[in-house]
Amino acid sequence: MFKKLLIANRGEIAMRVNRAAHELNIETVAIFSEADRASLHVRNADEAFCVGPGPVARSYLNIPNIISSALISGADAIHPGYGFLAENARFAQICTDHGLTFVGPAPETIAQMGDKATAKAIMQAAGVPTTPGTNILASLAEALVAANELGYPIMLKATAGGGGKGMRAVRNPEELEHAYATAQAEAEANFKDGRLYMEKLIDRPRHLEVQVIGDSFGDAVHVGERDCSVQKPSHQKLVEEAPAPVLSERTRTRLHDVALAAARAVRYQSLGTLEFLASGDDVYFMEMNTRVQVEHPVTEMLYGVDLVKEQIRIAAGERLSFSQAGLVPSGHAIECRINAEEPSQNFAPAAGLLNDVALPGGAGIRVDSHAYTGLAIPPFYDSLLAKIIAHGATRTEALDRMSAALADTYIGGVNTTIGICATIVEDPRFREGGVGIDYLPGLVAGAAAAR
Amino acid sequence: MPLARIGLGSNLGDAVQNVELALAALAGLGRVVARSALYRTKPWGLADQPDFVNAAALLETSLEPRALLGSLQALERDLGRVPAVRWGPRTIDLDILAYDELTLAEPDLAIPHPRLFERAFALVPLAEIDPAFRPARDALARRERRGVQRIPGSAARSPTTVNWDETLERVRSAAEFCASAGLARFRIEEDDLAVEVRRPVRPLRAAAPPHPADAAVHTNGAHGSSNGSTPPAERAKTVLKAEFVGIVRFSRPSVAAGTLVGEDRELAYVEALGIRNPVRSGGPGRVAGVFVTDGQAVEYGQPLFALET
Repeated sequence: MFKKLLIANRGEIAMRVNRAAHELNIETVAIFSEADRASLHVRNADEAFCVGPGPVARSYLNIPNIISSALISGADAIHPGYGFLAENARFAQICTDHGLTFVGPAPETIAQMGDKATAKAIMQAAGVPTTPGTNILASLAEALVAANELGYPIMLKATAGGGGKGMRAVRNPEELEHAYATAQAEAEANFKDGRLYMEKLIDRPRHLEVQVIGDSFGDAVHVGERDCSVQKPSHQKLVEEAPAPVLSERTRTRLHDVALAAARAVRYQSLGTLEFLASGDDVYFMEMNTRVQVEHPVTEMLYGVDLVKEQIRIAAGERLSFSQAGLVPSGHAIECRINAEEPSQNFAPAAGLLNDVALPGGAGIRVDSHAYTGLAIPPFYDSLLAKIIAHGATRTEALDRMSAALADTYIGGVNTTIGICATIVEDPRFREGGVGIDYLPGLVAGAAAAR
Repeated sequence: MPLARIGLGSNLGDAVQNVELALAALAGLGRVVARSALYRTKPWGLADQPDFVNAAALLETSLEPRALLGSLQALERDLGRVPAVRWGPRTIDLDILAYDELTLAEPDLAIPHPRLFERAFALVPLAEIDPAFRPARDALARRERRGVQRIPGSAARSPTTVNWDETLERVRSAAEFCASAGLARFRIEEDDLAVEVRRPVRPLRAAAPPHPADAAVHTNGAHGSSNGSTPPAERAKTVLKAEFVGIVRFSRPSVAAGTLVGEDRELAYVEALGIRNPVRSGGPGRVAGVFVTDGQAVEYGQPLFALET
């Protein structure tokens, strides 16, 4: 097992990893930017190094200072959390080159799955259903021909994109002519890779994903699916739950089976998630995330396992501690993301001072958060303040618990998503289950119209 | 400008060095007018604790008491961080003992320090550099005063206490003497003050005008220049900080507080991933503070040297 783990992240996920490491008797090293000096993740770690000023490019993405911190502190492994360097194959390789274990899959796997077109080709070869679409497009002319064959509407995607970024829905040839150059320029600017491909747009799909985990001995298991259909217009998730409601057992089993087959096809040796779009009983592979997900606690609550500890143990060369048969879901779990955002302003991020923070608790409630009264929210980072997870014997109990927990939650000083999350869990349409990714944008638009 | 009396104390790790580092770092909050010798105090009651090392400093500062308290607390945090172990016991304590003639009694800030007059370890160093506190010191029980012992070899200093009126007067008279005696160069040295006057000698006019063209004042290693009646310039202070996470290595010859740097030179380098990242003075100046030790791990933004230019 590792002796000392550097956590190359901030906020709640850095604290989550820190806890897992301490449980495993591993010392921890935090990194932080000048803007995060007062952050809880800095206090809770055994050691901490400032690696740069506030902007991420100079701190949380500052590979030389991060590696140097690991070497100076005598760390033997680096956990990247999510975001930042978590899916950066070059960083994973640099860790290895410096004798540090990267807690994640092999750099080649990250690179393969990070390139969406390559990932899709690999999954197709492994028999995983994928959205009908094209390879990398060479030109607008090729795009126009391909779109005609697939039939509009289509989705134009940056091959280096992900997490809801670099996607653009196109409804007709005129839109495509305009969108092609814009999408290319955006992808070039955001990902330094302007290559695009195209997929048939699945009408109002649900977003389902399957948690998988594999070890270096070739064993792999799935830890069930999550329904993450409640997404902001930017395709970022807001509410996630497991198991997916209103899903036929046949489709559920098929989803698990193809995800496991996919993980085995790439000899996956870490914690990962396969994302699918679902329409009725049809499921299409979308992408694989080669890291811990924000919403992993939903699965942890449902199955009573600690995925982050398992991820660290596997990276240290240990065997999976559970078998597929030993993984039995119990009840229902749901997560709400409390972000410093203004939902009515298209979820624009808010920065400011948290002058009053009250977080919920009680039976069946878990809170993962770095927020405290007096914390200044810098403008440089993700707006996530807290994740509230509710578990219940049934979906109704879980939603009722969430509703009560949100009523107990108060964050003063910045606008948050507490209110809209409360609206969602009380909404009869959501309670019915099986909403698509168009649900939240519709809810927000409806609320705006009502005003 | 207000004059704050600061008490310093440490009993963890290299306590002497902790206090020295803190004294050097105080220069970042204003002008350190004087600092006491270091004193060693036996902790009473808690026999198994290591000795305390205490000192006091007079700080001329533009910071209001509350801002000063905040800055001192930030210094405590920064200096208390042996790279970069947190949540450990604090290695340095910095207190505002007094602030001008101010009295303040608020829950989180009381000035003068409420227990100053019972605390030999605070009063003894302070009285050494501030005569106003000598009666209070002398009022302490002898047994208590004796518990606070000056560390051999350490001495009170007024590193930047220069009475400029007096100094300029001396420069002027030295220049006049120089001119009347026909000397090109004249230097007087005292304990902590050295005055040197240089005069360009013009062969045709032996009697130069009474204004020296070039006079330099050296104060305990400090370097400043004054031309004629120009008042002593406010010396600009630069703090050189680490840009890289790594190990700081002093370049030879290594500098210490007070070292004069004649030109832009490498004071140290931060070794990171096998690369030497030089820390340069950027020009001539005087090293006013050294905040790190050779071979120490440093993080981004960590103060390394203070430089007066």
